[in-house]
Amino acid sequence: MPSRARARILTALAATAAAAVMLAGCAGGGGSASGGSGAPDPQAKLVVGSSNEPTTLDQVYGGGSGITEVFTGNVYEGLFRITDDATVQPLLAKTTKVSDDGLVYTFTLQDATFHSGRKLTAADVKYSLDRFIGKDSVAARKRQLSVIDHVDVVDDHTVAVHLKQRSISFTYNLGYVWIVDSKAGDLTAKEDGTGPYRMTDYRKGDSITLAVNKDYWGAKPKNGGVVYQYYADPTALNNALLTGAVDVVTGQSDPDTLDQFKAAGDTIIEGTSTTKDLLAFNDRVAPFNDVRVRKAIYSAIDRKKLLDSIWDGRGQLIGSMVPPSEPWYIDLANNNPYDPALSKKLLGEAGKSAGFTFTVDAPQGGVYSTEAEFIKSQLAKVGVTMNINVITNDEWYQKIYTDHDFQATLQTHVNDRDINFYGDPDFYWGYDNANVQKWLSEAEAASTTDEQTALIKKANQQISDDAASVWLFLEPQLRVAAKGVTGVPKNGLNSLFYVSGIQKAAS
Amino acid sequence: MTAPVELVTAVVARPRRRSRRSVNLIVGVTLFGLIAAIAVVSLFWTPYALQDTSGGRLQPPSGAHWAGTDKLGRDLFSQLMVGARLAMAVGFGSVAIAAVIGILVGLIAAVAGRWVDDALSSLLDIAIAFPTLLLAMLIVAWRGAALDSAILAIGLAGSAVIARLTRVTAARVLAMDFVTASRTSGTGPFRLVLLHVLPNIWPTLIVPFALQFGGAVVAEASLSYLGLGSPPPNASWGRMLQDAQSTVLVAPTAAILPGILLVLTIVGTNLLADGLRDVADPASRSIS
Amino acid sequence: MLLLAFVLAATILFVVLRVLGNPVYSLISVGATKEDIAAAAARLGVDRPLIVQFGDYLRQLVTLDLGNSFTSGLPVGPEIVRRLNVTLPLTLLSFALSMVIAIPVGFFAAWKSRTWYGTAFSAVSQVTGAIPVFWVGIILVFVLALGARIFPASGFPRTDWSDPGAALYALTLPVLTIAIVAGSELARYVRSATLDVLGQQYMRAARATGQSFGSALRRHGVRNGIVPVISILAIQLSTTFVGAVIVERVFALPGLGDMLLSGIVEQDFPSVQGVLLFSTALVLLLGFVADVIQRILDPRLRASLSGNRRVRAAA
Repeated sequence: MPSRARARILTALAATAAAAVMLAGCAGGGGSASGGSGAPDPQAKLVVGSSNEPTTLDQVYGGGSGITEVFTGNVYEGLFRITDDATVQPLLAKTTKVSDDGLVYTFTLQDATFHSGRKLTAADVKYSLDRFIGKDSVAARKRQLSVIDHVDVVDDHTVAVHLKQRSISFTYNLGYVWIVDSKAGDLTAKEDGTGPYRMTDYRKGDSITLAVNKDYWGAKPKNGGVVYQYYADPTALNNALLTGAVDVVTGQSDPDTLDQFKAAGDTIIEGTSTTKDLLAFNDRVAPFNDVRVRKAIYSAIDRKKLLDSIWDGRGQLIGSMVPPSEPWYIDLANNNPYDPALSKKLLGEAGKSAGFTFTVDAPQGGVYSTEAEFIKSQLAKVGVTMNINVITNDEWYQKIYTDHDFQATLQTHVNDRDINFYGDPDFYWGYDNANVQKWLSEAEAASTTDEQTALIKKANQQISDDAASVWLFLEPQLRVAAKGVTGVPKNGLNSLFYVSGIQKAAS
Repeated sequence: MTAPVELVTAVVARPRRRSRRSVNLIVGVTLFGLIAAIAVVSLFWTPYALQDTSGGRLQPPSGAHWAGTDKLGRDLFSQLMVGARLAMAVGFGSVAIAAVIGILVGLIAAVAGRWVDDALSSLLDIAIAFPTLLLAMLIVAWRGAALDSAILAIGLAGSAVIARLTRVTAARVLAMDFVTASRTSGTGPFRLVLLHVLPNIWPTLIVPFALQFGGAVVAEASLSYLGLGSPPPNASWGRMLQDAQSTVLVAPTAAILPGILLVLTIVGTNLLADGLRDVADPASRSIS
Repeated sequence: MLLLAFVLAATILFVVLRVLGNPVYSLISVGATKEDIAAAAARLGVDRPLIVQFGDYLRQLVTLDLGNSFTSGLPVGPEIVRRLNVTLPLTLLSFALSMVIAIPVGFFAAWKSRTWYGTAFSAVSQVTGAIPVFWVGIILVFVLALGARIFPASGFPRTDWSDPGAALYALTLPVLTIAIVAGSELARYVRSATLDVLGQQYMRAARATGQSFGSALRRHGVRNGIVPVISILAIQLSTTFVGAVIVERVFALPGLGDMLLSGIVEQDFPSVQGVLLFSTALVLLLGFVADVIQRILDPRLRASLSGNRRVRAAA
């Protein structure tokens, strides 16, 4: 019957029409509207787009990195500040005196005021440090600060921190610890810091608004305020930049989107990060307790190809746990080169010329499955069979991190200066080398940074020679800024993002 | 005012008897069959292996790659074919689970005494009130995003509706004369169910099954969009759609084709459901 | 009865969450020691025996206290109220719009079902109802927000409803997205119900007594046809709510759906419990109201059921 046939045609037409409408939209896509080409406007309000929303406002309450991106250096300050090139500068610690044995650090404090109006005193510093390493704290860098034995208030402006042992990285680690107002109480719903901005609005799931702190003790910010706007959906974040709803995106993880931003006149900022993708072995169990097997696996993987396929030529290859931003970096990218013939030879030496089978526990998530599939196909070429077991993040913490019940796993480590994990034989990968442990602890107890660097370099070389893990690559830090927006921090050290230097041109 | 007259004469002169030859059924079977055929073929052959990343990033459709490639160089056409297989698996798997659990619970409620019936009915009311996709999200997120978690979750979520329908229909059948006759002649409850109830409730259940099939495919696509679906290289159309969105200007086919296939599959199953209702159960004027 | 159902739902939810999830690992990061993990568990109260946790949970529910979020430490109740600001208007507007679209379309498709344009309407609603809601959103954003910059691509104004114009502007595309999908499904129900009504005996009987078509429809058709439609309205609202969860992700709206998704990802039991309990309570309540309305409208149900409201038309 003609009407029924027409119905069928109409259904098909409807589908085609939908497609046509979508393609028609192509003509109008792109074109960012924010920012002009004039001189920077010191009163300009910025919108920062991010997908890393803080889970809580208090760094001691939860270990996520989202809150570092918003608050550290902007709302809260530490005794020290870590700059974009990973150097340590004094901030709230006006002067520093270290005792000869390196166990007592005496700081005099800046004349700063908290956002609530109270003046900064040594008691606040003691309070902040105590609560950071306290029993209930789950702060992300608690482990590094556990070297503190106790804190003494010398006078209103002087505080003395006593350490259990020498720690040359101490001032560096203090760069992440917020100095909070001891009288502020619960900091999960509000803030009270000394920073150049104060938080005026917190909408969970949406945004955090920072306004300029008029009574800031230091240099005035170069803009008139910042709003961090959060997007869980990456497309929504990209669209926000394209429609001018945000001025800068803090972390772009899809390199294929960069062309459309360039076409719209946005600036792509590519810096280094401290995010390392690893294939970690359980160095305690067979066959990975044999260094030849580990080196064989390392050399069987074409890491450059993997990096290119995920990051389209950005990022870089690393040969150990140390990224270029750290003083003890050595270019070890080819220390265990991609060489399938070498791989087979090493397997033969280890008595595994017939190949073997193992299971890798991959946390769920797109990048891990891509890496797993790639590695699996690479290893197959040298006769090694890899089975992929997908687990949840939870299970990872239980099975691998706590129980050490695994053969190999994939993981991403975002912390800076985390080579120290290789000095802990109880860490999940169980790398146990007495020399490395010695060098790393001696490095920490060193009296000069040169000494420290020399010692850690030795450890660095050793873990690479031992192929303690396979360091697949270092992720790039990709940021995108709209036209006319300048001063965006280039490198991503653990999600630090200082906004006071960002400027927006008047349109 | 010709229209109402026309309608009344239509109603009186041509009684609305559903024709055995239902267009819905034909179109539905065609579309569904097409997708199922692709799924079956994908078991034996796809143009490229799924993990083959040799294609070059985000290539447009060409002779070598009929639908182009994704950002890792994998062939899209192959992924679309495997996506059909996944959609079929999700559909059949979740309907099977919904059917088994739902029919079982519904039969128990219908056959057992007042107490059990009341309790189960309350439970079913709650289950239906519970936003089912949200339950599925919970299960998948915490059990781990694997295909079987998604199928289990969606199937569980759909079983409540099946259970309720089974209960009502089975109760109706059990109240019929021939069943009472059979019971008085000594047939035990088990054989009653098998011989009389199941064959008679079957036609009424086919339609919700078909509808749930489509619903399951949509649910899986939504879960994949939210990042809770089966990870790559398991080709879920929903995930492919989500992945391709950020590069829609660069590679539009990758962002459109999975969606079109999804729509075709769901329209197919819905028309199939309507068609089955036309043909198999013309007596049922129920909305579903 | 309603209360019992709710308590049952709360219990099941409690059990499901604790069997499936472990919130401690969402708080810590790599570098945490065993003591840190234990301390985190103690702070959340999840290291206590399940019975004790359940007791606390029930006790809090009685005082309508939904507890504090495991991850942010903020109270769940006020958070839900704040997010309702976005989700309630979103859901209600979508629901209203879907009815505005569906009822005329469904009716028209049924009335003109013998013509090609009637079937066209039916076909179009089949297709639009088959598009996953997130894709509808993506397409609308692409065409109307990115392409023709008519609407914003995402976000809800920080000024909330103090500037209703801006809020509605931001909600336009999201509401349209849900309404298209939910409306298509509703249109099919309406069409089906209308077809039934048009063929029913009482319509012919009314016409035979000399009533005009329009009056027969108004007096008998609508009243009878609307009964099954109302029964699915509660489910429709539930569908709209689920649609809202997905749409809030597409359009970056800080609503209940977003709260639920974040809670699921972060294993934040109190937030997840809070949102799910709230939505379950709402749907149970609406189902109850729908039942009452149904019984008022349909005397057949009133007579035969007499208190047992379970045997309804299969839906």
